[in-house]
Amino acid sequence: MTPLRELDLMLTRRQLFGRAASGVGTAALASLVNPQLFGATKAAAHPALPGFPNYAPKAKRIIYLHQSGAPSQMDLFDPKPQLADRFAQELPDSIRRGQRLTGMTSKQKTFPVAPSKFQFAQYGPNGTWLSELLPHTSKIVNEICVVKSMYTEAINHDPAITFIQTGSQVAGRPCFGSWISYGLGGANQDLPAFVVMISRGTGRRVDQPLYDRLWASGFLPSKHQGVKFRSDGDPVLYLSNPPGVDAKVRRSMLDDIARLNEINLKAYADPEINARIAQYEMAYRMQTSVPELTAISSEPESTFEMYGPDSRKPGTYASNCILARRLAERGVRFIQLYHMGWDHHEGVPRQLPPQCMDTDQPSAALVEDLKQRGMLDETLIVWGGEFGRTVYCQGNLSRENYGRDHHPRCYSLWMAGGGIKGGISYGATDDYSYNIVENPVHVHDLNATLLHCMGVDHTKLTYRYQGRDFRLTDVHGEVVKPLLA
Amino acid sequence: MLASNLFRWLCAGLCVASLTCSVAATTKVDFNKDVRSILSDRCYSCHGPDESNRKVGLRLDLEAGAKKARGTRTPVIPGDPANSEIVKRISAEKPGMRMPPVASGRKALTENEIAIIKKWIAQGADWQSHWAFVPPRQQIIPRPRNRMWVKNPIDAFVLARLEREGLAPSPEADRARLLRRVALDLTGLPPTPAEVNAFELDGSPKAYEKVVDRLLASPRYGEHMATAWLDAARYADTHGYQVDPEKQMWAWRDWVIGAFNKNMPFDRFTIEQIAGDLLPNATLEQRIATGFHRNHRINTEAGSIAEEFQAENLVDRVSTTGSVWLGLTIGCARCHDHKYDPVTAHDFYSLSAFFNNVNEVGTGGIRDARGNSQPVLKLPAPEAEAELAAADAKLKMAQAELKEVEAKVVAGQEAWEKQALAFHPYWRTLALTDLSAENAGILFTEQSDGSTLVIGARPAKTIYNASAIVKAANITAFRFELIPDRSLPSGGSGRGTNGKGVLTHFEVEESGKKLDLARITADYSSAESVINLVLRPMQQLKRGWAVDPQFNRPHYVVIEPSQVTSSENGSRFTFHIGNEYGEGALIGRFRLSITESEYPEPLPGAVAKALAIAAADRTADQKRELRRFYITHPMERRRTAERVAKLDGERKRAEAKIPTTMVMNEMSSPRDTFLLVRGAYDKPGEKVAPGVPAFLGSLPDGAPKNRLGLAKWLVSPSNPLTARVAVNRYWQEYFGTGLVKTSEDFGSQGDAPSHPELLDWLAGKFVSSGWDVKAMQKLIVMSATYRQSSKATPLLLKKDPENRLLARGSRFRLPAESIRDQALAASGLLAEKLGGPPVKPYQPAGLWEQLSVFDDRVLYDQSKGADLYRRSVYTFWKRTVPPPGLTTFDAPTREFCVVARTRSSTPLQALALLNDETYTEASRKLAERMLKEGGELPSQRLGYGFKLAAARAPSAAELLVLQAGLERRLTQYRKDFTSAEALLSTGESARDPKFGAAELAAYTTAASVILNLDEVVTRQ
Repeated sequence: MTPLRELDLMLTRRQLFGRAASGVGTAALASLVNPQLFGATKAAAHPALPGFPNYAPKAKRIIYLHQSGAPSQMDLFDPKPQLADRFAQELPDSIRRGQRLTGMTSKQKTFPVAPSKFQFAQYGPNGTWLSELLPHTSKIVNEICVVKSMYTEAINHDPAITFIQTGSQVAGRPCFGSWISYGLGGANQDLPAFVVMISRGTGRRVDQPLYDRLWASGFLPSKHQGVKFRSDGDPVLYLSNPPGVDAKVRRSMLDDIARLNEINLKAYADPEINARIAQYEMAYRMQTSVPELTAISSEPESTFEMYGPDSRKPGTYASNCILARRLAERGVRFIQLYHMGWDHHEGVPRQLPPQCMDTDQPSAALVEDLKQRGMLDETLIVWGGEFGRTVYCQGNLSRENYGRDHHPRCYSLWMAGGGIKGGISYGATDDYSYNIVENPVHVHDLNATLLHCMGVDHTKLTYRYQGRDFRLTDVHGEVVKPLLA
Repeated sequence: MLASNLFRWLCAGLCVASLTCSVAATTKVDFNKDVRSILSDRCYSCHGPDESNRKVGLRLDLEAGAKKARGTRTPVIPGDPANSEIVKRISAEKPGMRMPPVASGRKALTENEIAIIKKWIAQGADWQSHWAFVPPRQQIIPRPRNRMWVKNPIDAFVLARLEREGLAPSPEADRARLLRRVALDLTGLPPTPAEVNAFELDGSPKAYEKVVDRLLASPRYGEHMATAWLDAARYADTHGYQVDPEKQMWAWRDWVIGAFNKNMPFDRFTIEQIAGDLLPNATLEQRIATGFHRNHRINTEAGSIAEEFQAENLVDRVSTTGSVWLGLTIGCARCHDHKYDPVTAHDFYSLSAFFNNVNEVGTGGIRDARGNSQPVLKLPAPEAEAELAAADAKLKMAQAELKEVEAKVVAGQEAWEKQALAFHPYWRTLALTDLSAENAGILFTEQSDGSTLVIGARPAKTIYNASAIVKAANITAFRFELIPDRSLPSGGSGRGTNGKGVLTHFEVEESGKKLDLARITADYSSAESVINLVLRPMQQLKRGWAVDPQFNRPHYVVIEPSQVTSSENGSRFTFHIGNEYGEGALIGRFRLSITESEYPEPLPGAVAKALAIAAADRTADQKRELRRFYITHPMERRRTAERVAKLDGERKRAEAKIPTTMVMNEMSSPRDTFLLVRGAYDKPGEKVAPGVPAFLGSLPDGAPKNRLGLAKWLVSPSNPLTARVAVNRYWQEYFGTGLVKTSEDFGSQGDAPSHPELLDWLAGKFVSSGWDVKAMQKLIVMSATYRQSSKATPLLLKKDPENRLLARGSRFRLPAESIRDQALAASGLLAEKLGGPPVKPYQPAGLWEQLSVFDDRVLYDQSKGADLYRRSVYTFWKRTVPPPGLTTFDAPTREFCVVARTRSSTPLQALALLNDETYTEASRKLAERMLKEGGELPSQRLGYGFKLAAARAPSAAELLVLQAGLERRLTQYRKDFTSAEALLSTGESARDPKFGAAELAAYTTAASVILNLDEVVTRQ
């Protein structure tokens, strides 16, 4: 907030407090910290930037279902049945083209083709291909748009996941959710605009870690950083009162803090004091609003049936999907889920099915649930990882077992909801799902498209830092029009 | 009259806010202040230094380019705005003609900006070099009217400007507040009540100076000053990528603290950190100092490409050097010539060549026992070294013995191979006694086969305990069997849905002593199982061994202790069997046995396969596999190997006691450095030699073309930036904002200085003082400018909301470290130990585990005792999960160089101060001090507590609020002793039993109120 704007608010508040000091007494003072009386300050808690959104948005919020570790595109979305005949044949040089490999397979002597062990079928009027591992996703095929021609620049997890989140492989840029929080603000004054939730996969237990950087605000003001909701302990760090402090004691302490801060405000007239008073009140409101939000036991039985058996267990992906819907209902702008466990360097046939079981039903349920509530057309959902996997086998190859290394040159993801054309597939890869042959979509293009759906011109959402106007899409990115509804 | 005055103030206020004046008829337009920023922002990206992107060959960042005729048109004709092409183009009506073009994404010039350009040209279009790229000018100290106010030249500069603006400075802050401000600014800690009293009573004219000298001499000064430098140097205790392994750099951190405390001159401070190893007869300390450029992140992720990250490491070193010493965004020139400043890509890679001769691997290579990657310096530790030598000798002997034993037992392999496939170890079933569970109502019934069936209550989770007396010479393994039973759901072996039972934890004690369990193998386990968790359970994840969907079949795990266990006289073994999966998936029927067999575990698949093949037909791999499996099993070899393992552990522990630190060195034959096309590591362009950007001069005469030469150039008198950038950062610590607001960017896109003459004077003073760092701090805090009260008036708020003119003292929230350190100091918990390995104070449970792979290193091993209360500069810094108590208050992640922290105000900060154990415990101890040291009356006690944190006595009104609150909560706690006791249980520190629970609890809440006050978390 600009200092001048703060000043105006402060003067308004001062008048209110002036009245309290002139004898209305403690009760009135307590009511002053009641949010209803905080009209002006409250409305300004998460304001959008002036001029944003740039045009009428299709989506009001994003739920980003990030599959950390990188799901295998040719086992899930991008079938290559003809490869069955080329089992264990060497990947042709004409396909590999000397492109770089990770340090994990670059010293492999051979690069034998590992065809997918899984069956595919076509669904929906446009015949979208989906693997047998995604039975629930096949039921929402009319809502989703499968992009098979995604590509990225990094070849290892840390730089790649940082890249997809921030548009740069190097640490320090704001992540997607922070940009949205900065540009569009939040619609709920009692909750942060950007929330993050994490779950572990059952496919690969010892998997890629995550980093606080992935929900950091970089050079944007730190209030735009994602707030991590946890399933163990406090849902938000430090949310609960310490033992022995009940609501009455807490309120009594907060009243004292507010009174004493008011005295200091009178002497120093610093708008920052005013801001701090407001932040304490928001903290107090969060202590109520967050537990109410995370208490999913209040959901009817039908919800748990819809999202599957895992959904009863706090901290699972399924449970987080229910929370995502509850956050969406409450106006949280950017809801980021991370599901770990997709990094299948070995044992794809063993590790991929349980991993898909984790996510297939809850992801489909989330789309369906939002649709039933009339919220799907205003909620943008993305499901995907940070890169793809190689067609050649990492490690030993058999008909029953194979592993796949990292592959940045093509991968698949799906989107649904606000602004996105459902029921289609977009882009194509070569016979080996190794190179893109049709309609490539770079990570920057994806991000430009997602921003577009949110009513934001990706070239306009900028922040001046170190003398340069930075943006999520760096100096790149084209909106992919054919994906739009 | 009043209205017109107000109007004038308002106009002036707007003018000051941007620090660039709108165009008025008479004033002279200043190119650097008024024009350059417009040209830079709107024109230079296409008509600036970046040659590859330059449009139509026009260059407007150089005077020659701007004023040279281009055919019939000339961009800038001095004195003739109407015919100057740039005026025509920036004000063109036709969108196609208008500059900057819409497609560039740059905003069109405002009318005021166009007017400034026109007026500048009309006044003769005087061109100036960018202010920061010419050396600081000798300044004449101004002579403001109010000479009485001036305490040192800083004030003369500040006051002269205030008088020009028609403003007067604020009165000096009262003594208590001034003392608190300067103590927090110089040492990061508040003054004690005794220090406040002494200062308030000291009538000497030197009273304040004495205080400043005392603070500058305190070891706490170095700890506090180091913090900003650690941000800039991206100092941390982990490598920062992916699994984020630990490293050890605290010797470098201690070097920094020591350098500040010893008042090392800034030029030496610079040279030693950039190139201490290259100084003649470099000392150990000078080599430790070079850790500065080993602090950056290193990508240790498997699969990373060393060349790629060698390039990244160089980029980091160059960018950081640029930000820290030059205040330039040199990193922009990695991919192309800088768009605004005259830094070319060639310059960038020439700088990187200085840092490219270190004998290192881009991805860290093999790391030493402390996680450090080469080059590494061992620090002296004579005792530990002697210990290591002794351990080493013992280990070598044992290893030799192991070789002999192996040579001997190999003879038995053939015999083993013949019977291995048919072999079944003999398992002796244990007769269990003292069966119990953590939850009531669970019953254990013994079965005829020696197994146990569990019946009765079925909680979601529990733990079973059982004991047995065992007499055996060589226990090599325990076996835990899951046995199906008709009485269990679906006839399975567990009590959960479909007969599921999950073993989440297995622990054995022999006569009360926990056995170290090394290995667990299962005959079968479900896809969901993570069986290693059975031996190393984690708080976050309650999984372990399960047998879905084969609940109806018996299965087992074999658990081997790390040492063969003997209990020939019979000892009591106690087992703890974890059932913490949840959902009531408890173990239903189980059996425990032991074996003394040399081969207790199921044969691994590859071994069984190899054994099935005739010896002659086995491949080399299979032979190796068999040998590897066989050799570890014979008892004699086991015993010897265990001894080797034990001695190896001792040796490692001894070695780990010898600290190391990462340093720079110089290879004898330098690595070639290439310009990287678009910054890509795999697209090398022309070869470059080490060199500095041409527009900033050249290496000093006789300086070597290596890091030492670079370091000397950084602090040479001809370098226009280093001294300005350094003093600006100091200024920022005292006033919240630098004289140049963009302390990271002194280039043409950066902000112009608010007081350019003062900045130059300070820079000159700094150099001429011999780069005396303490003298510079003292100069600033001794100024009348610094000592002003920070009370704002509506007038000042309107006219100068950001306080850039400094007509009042500065007021801003304390840095994260000071907020915590202050609470520790006020409560008496602070442990004032200087330096040493990092510590792990309180942090919410599970934070590391939640984000990380399962591995011992992800556990946050919280410190104990005094280490919980060390200053925050010693807090262990894990880059991917930095300490939340500090990052909540804007501490950076330390992944990259930060020279100015942001300062935010969020509800999460309120929650942390109210609820974090750090602060609830500090409140409890602060309450004890109030009761113990504050006096008898509540008002005295509260006043004392207030003074411990705010360094002043509360006013009557403030005391009234505190006292009323205390009484309200005292009444409540008197009625509710349980809550009082609960509140007093937070934190590890002991509770003083002298005080009643209700009273102490009520005072604890009062202390918490005090620690949460805006004034307390602010230096004002």
